[in-house]
Amino acid sequence: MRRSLVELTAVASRELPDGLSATPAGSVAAVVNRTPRRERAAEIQATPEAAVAASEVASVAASHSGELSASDSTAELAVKIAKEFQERALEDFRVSMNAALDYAKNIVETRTGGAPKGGRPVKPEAPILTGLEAAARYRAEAIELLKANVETALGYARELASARSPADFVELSSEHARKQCEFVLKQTGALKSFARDATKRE
Amino acid sequence: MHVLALVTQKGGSGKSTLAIGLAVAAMADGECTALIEADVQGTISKWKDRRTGAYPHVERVADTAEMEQAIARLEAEGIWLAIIDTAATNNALAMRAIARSDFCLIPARPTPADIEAAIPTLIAIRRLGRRFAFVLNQAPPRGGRVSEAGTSLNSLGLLALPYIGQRNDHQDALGAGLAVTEFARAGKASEEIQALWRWISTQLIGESSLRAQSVLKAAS
Repeated sequence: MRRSLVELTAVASRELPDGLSATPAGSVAAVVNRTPRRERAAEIQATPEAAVAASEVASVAASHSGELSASDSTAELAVKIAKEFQERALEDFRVSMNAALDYAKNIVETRTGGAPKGGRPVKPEAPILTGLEAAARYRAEAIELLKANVETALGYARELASARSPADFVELSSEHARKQCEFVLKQTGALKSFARDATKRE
Repeated sequence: MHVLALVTQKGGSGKSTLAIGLAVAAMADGECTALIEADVQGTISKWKDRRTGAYPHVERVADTAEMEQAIARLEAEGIWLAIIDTAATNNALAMRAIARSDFCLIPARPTPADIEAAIPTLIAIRRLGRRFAFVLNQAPPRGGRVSEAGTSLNSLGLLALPYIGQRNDHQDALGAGLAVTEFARAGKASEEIQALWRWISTQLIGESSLRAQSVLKAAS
């Protein structure tokens, strides 16, 4: 007897991660951090740390994919996806941090009247210092967030190695998606408070 | 530049044919469009060899580095839309195409094999947080099976409209180095591809205006 496509699809879709069907994971991050500006990412001072972490993620993922049996396509796919996702997340994070630092620099320059060369600033006022302080604070916080993000990424890559069934993958994926969302929220919060600190003394 | 990726690990579902059809339909709409072929099968390159016109531009890429270069090059040339055709597998190149795209299209014929094969692709797309839609391709002219397939795909995600019917014009156009909108301008197949392009362009433009809004919000 013929089984309808609708029924067969329902069976097939059980493989789909539940947590991902309502809201696509990473879409928040994708919207927030989407413009890739590689040349800027290369400039950022936190790069050595991040680069080390990124290569660690990549090597962890690579070693795991080597361990997987050829038939274990779900886990293999998961590692590939994780690798891509982490590379992108790290890069986006660096870029957005750099953009925020640029923004801070611009504020300071605007207030000193275009960063005079050699000449003395007309009035070294308190608000300028406040802007610099806020920028420094934001930068410190951003680096902390970056570290935490990298740690989660590493943990995710490690855990994926032990994921042998689609069910494991689903669980890990939704857990990772949740953590990722929390970071984005935290980062947004930090940005907001930075913007507030930098602008409230106009 | 918008990037549209045609992905699914099912062979023969019509990725290359749709990529060509949509690229030429977008060109006819006045958009600067290019094709990126990430499939060693080379369907698009062979089609381009048969084609007399210079456009659309076709870039062949064999690995992820080449894909990045091709995307950067096309962007620098002022291309508005790049359409990536991928191989019928979930390889690293297909993953990169998904990761680099603004929108993914998953063509599926009304068969269980096509719908099942779309699931791993769908997982990848969701993990990478990409927007996507199914296209019901090579649909028979009428009957319950088409609506059944439509319902099935709709239960998995957004379904692009209209369905693309099973018509010889698509294959004949391919053989002639033409797109279906050039081969049989007034035909049904041509109409469907044009309508599908309009649907997709709305998705792409809608997305970029949303993005602009979020940027404005962040700036204010």
